[in-house]
Amino acid sequence: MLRITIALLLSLVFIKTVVSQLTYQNQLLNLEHAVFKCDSDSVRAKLRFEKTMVYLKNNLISHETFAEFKRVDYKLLPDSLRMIFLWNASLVSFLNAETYQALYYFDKYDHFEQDNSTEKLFLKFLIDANHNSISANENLQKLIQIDTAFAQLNCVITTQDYELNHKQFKKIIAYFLPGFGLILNGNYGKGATSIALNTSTVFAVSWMLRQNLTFNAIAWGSNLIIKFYLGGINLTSKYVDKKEKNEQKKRANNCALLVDIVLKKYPLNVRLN
Amino acid sequence: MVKSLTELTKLFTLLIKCVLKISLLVLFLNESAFSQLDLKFIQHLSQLELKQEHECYLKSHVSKSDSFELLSAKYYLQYNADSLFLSSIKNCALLLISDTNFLNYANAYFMKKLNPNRDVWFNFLNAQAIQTNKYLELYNLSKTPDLRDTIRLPDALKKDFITYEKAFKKKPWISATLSALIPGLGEFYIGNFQASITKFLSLTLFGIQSVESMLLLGVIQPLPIINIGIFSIFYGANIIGSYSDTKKKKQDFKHQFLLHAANYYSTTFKPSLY
Repeated sequence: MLRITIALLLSLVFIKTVVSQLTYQNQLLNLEHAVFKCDSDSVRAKLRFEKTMVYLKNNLISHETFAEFKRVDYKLLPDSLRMIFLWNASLVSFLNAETYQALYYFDKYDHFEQDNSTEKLFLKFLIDANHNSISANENLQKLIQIDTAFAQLNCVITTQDYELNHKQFKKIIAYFLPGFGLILNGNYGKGATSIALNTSTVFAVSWMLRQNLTFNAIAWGSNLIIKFYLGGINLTSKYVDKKEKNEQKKRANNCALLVDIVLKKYPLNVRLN
Repeated sequence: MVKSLTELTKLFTLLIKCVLKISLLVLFLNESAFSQLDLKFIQHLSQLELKQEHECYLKSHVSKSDSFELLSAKYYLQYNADSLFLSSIKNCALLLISDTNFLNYANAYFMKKLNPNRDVWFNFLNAQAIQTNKYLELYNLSKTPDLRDTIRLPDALKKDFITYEKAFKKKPWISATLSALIPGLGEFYIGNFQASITKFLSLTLFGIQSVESMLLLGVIQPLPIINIGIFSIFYGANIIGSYSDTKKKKQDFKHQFLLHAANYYSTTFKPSLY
């Protein structure tokens, strides 16, 4: 009886241990429990660092992972772990579009690790491309000196600064010649409709005035002219902005493909040990 | 020699059995201690908003006890899973109503909601026959507001309650009838003065232009027909609009009153999840 009980209990503990190792959620929970029970700040920092590694080992780079990185007091980590942490933190922050946080972690990493590796320059370039085109350009020149394949990454900077040709002119001309802004923007159907509506409204109102339909002229004129004229201006502005965004998106997609090609040659990996 | 060897073997077997029994006891105590829910740890998970860990911790301790159901309910409410919360509270009703801090948290949470879950929650509380709960009292007052109840309210909420009570009295069908008689009058009746002037002026202008076109061009002409058509559409929309605006205003003022009440009592009672 005793043997059976022991066997059952041991198998229960064994199964529990094995199952708990299967899911990363359990690993996170166990680490968090250890953090909760821990009294030492430095040990707590190490445990939190381990939690970030669990996320990364499971290829999780969501906002939850980023939040976990923010909880780590990296100053309390030993030098070897700190370097790994700062690199991973800047990469995860960048992938979560947290540019300034990425820059913060990267600067700290740069302060401690004075290497000039291609990987480091590449990450710095990508972070800077979002907010500091001058610094990004400087890094790009250094990268091009290493490998000319990096030259195609210029699109990362130019896509950010892209502005549609004659954007303001198209918007302003809509005030003076209703419908022409839309035609210049390539929306020929909408432009022609705007011209037709504005012209026919003016024609109809003048006809009403000739027929002594004063109230009709005031009512239709005040309603329709304002609606078609101001509507045309708003529509021009909306479609010009939309075209610019579409163009930016198109360029960004093309650029992402180029970045992917470069990333295959020079991958930016998280550091797991 | 043989005898002493046999005794030694027996002693050894006994010793092993003792060690095994003690290990078993230690193992059992350890397992049972770990299987207990640690409330402070749950508070820690909740405070740091560690949703995954929180969920995992609760899943690893599933039981049918009231306290477990309440902790699950708290988890659901923290992460805005209203329907899961409302289905789980049925199993821990007694424990829930005795947890004053959490009750206030849930009251404030649902009082600010503008969806049917608010009614489900307060109907549940009414079914539990709770005697003294300010939130519930206010919610019940808001169902059929009466000016005589103003005396039961704190000064900060009186103004909102009176405004809501006035809006509550307005009947949508009266508003619609008034708008049918004189365009914009229904909006005037419910206190939307700007809308009433706008509707009155625009419909008058449409009316005048219809009459003018009929007098100068005759009835069977395109312009008078268009004018009359547009006037009819606006006239109908004015009646329907007044009806729906009256209903909407009632709901808006009720929500505003309950929202302010929730904020007011949140500062007084300091609701918390744990």
